[in-house]
Amino acid sequence: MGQAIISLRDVSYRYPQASPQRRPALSGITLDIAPGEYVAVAGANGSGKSTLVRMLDALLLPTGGTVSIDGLDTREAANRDRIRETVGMVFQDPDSQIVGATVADDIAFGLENLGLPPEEIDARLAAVAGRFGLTELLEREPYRLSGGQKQRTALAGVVALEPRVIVLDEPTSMLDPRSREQFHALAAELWSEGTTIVYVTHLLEELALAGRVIVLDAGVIAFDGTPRELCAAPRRMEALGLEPPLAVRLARALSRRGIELEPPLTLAELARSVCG
Amino acid sequence: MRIELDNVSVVFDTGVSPPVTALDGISLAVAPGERLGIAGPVASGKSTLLAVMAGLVEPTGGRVLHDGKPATRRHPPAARIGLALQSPEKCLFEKTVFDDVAFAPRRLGLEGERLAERVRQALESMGLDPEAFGSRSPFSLSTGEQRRVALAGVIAAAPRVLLLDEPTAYLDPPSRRDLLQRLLAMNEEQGITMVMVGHDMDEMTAFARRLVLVDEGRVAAAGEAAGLLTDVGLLRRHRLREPGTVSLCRLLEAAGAGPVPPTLDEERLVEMLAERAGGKAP
Repeated sequence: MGQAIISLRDVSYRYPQASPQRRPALSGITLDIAPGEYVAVAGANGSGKSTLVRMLDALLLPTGGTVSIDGLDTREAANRDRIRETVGMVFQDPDSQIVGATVADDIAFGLENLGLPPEEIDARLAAVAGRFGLTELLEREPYRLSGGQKQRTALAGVVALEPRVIVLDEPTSMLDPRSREQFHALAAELWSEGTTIVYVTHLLEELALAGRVIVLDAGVIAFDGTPRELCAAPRRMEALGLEPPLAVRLARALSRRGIELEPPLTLAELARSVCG
Repeated sequence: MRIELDNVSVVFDTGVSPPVTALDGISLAVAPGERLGIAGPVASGKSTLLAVMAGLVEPTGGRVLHDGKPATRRHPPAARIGLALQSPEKCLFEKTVFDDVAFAPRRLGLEGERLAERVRQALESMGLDPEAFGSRSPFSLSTGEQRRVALAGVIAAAPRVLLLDEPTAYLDPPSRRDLLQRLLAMNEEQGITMVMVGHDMDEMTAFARRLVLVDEGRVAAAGEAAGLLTDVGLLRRHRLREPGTVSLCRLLEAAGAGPVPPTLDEERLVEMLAERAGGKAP
């Protein structure tokens, strides 16, 4: 894959304060992600997911191996500005990301840092605010927003910078189902426009949205394949700290009774194959 | 301990921006020993409701009663009500896990062996080995471990009521299930009253005996959890998604299975699916 926009070669990482007996947070990670892929990254708490994605915009630098973004080595300080223009990050907790006194200030913050002219900043701000349903909230103080509004503000601030890769680190853990679905729709829309999406999650409904799932276990890649392949191995999923979805659990219970169905990924598939 | 809310309203007014009505005339009671779920969309007032129940936020209208007596911020119910805020691990601050969990019981006057015993029990109730964890820094732990240390710190004050704001958020599925089982056990074995805020209806199915739906600061519905959790129309009106088992019943109907009464019982679903799929087998 010569065209990879994200390329990791034998990457390891050990937190500086970690005791020497502890295993590294990541080891031997080799991974290519092509432009336009939608990749979900899953794994139990402590498996290295967040460490991995923090490598992608040089927030963390590998202690072994190489991370290249669009061919640029993250360890080269001279590359970092371009790497951070290429990769935008949205974290689990929007409070850790929002810095502006108002929603508008917050979204404009990154744009100002890019040194864009004021007209361009205003135009991009208005465009993302409209797209993310924030137009009415632009003068609000971020702390007065709901979780869903905050998370949309954080995403808008990143999208305004027009990165080619957006990394979403469990962005919906604090959202209600409706806001979560809205967020999924936004991610899908960005992906369909050609943005590469790296989506950290342990929600199976979110894994199923991706074309490719990477599961980390104790800092190494334990699975790399499609969501359907993952769900076809429920025992393996459990061993990796993922809970097989209800459809998979029910299909397994049926299989124990001698009823074999096409392995379902969703409840709708299960319903269709039972009634079909 | 009994908690009653009588027509409680909370309006946040900082004077800087327009006032926000978080709660708008809520009346409800929490009976001793019960397991009450509070569900609702984001920004519906759920978290404020918990803070008001705890006596941490004073209502701007109506009354909060703890065992029949008005709760005020100046006379906090101290140890009797434990409040675990969202992401409570953000409040960890001591150098060791032991000291963090010991913080509340120390303030309640425990020391020496009694203190150590209390901390030990609290850690064990959260599935943490006191020997292995006591002397470690809370900041060297994983998120899941930190969450359990933070909850142990709430439990160490020996509360009779636990108010939990999305206690399983951010945890991976096995950790979620484990934590939920531990909370259920504390309720069943020690009779600790539990009120849990959440919006995962599968989790509510496992947790709640009674459920209150909150939306726009008002009680939208309240009653036996099983009844509310199978009412798809009600849940969707309040931006909530029905439990997976109920969802499947609807999908089966849509796929031509005829009427499928909604159920929360996975075993029953398996029976029903087996009958249907088995019937088609050659």
